[in-house]
Amino acid sequence: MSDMERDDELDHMLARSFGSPDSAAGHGESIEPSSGFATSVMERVREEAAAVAALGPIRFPWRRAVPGICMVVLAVAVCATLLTLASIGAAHLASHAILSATAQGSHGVVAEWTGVATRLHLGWLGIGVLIALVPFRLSRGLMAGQQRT
Amino acid sequence: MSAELSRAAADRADVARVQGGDVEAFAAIVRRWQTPLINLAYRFCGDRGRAEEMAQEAFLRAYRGLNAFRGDAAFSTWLFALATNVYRNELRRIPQRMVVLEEASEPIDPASMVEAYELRDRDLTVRRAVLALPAKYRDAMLLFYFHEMDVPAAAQSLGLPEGTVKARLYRGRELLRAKLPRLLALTPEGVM
Repeated sequence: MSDMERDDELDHMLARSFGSPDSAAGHGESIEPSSGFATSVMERVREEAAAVAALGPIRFPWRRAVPGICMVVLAVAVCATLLTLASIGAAHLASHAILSATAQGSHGVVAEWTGVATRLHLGWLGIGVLIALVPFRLSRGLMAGQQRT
Repeated sequence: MSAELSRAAADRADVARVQGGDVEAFAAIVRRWQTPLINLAYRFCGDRGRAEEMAQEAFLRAYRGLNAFRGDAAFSTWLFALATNVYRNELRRIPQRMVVLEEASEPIDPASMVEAYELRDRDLTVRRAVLALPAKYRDAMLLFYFHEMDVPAAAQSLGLPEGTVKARLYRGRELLRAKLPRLLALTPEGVM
């Protein structure tokens, strides 16, 4: 028996066993629903429909949501305050640096701006941003790889 | 083909009625699809009573999810995909009466079997062997043959790309060939 004939025979056997009862190939066992099947399904469907109707539209869970909303508002307020204070400080330092640089010449400009950068911890800020970017890029790369496979 | 079209038209009308709030319209859907869904469940579990329970669960899930059905695909495609999902989860939860692949072996001497029982026994052996395959191969084979060897239909029911289904069918057949070498080596004429 060739491989092709063997495959055909396997196909026939599988179609007999698993084919749909409506299909030409499927002469396998066909199960007829018991007499009360449809009635029993509809009973459960009606129960389901009645339960949904009794519940009515689902209300918004204010009691659970309020603490979360308050926390978000608080976090936004804190962030806004910190940002405002930081920008005021930065503007103050920058104006001071410009004034000093004008008085001291070009060497003074570099020294003053370096001083401003040090006081604002710009170096650490840059390192922090770079470190944050690494897992971000890594996770995006992994996601793209998963989608390809 | 015309019967299929009229069934699809009837489905569309009944689905619209159920979505509009007419619960009783779902009865027509149940009557139309109860036999295919129970038969599909039976092919998964091999137990008539359990097949009805699984089909009932599938209908109930279909009712719950009907509002999400937008008619992008045929209702039957949607229903079979949903039912397949329910049946696979159900079998994962409570596996079918356990048949391990080693137990689903062929008879020692198939040629000696009485002719009248030969075909039935062979089919039973193959059925047991398929149900004992790892779930991903079992599901692909079962749906492929249930959908009259239609790969796209099987892929839609499983929610998988056609290529994946083809690969699983190939691997499933390989496992069966390895498990049932003597049975598949015999031509129907050879054993009669």
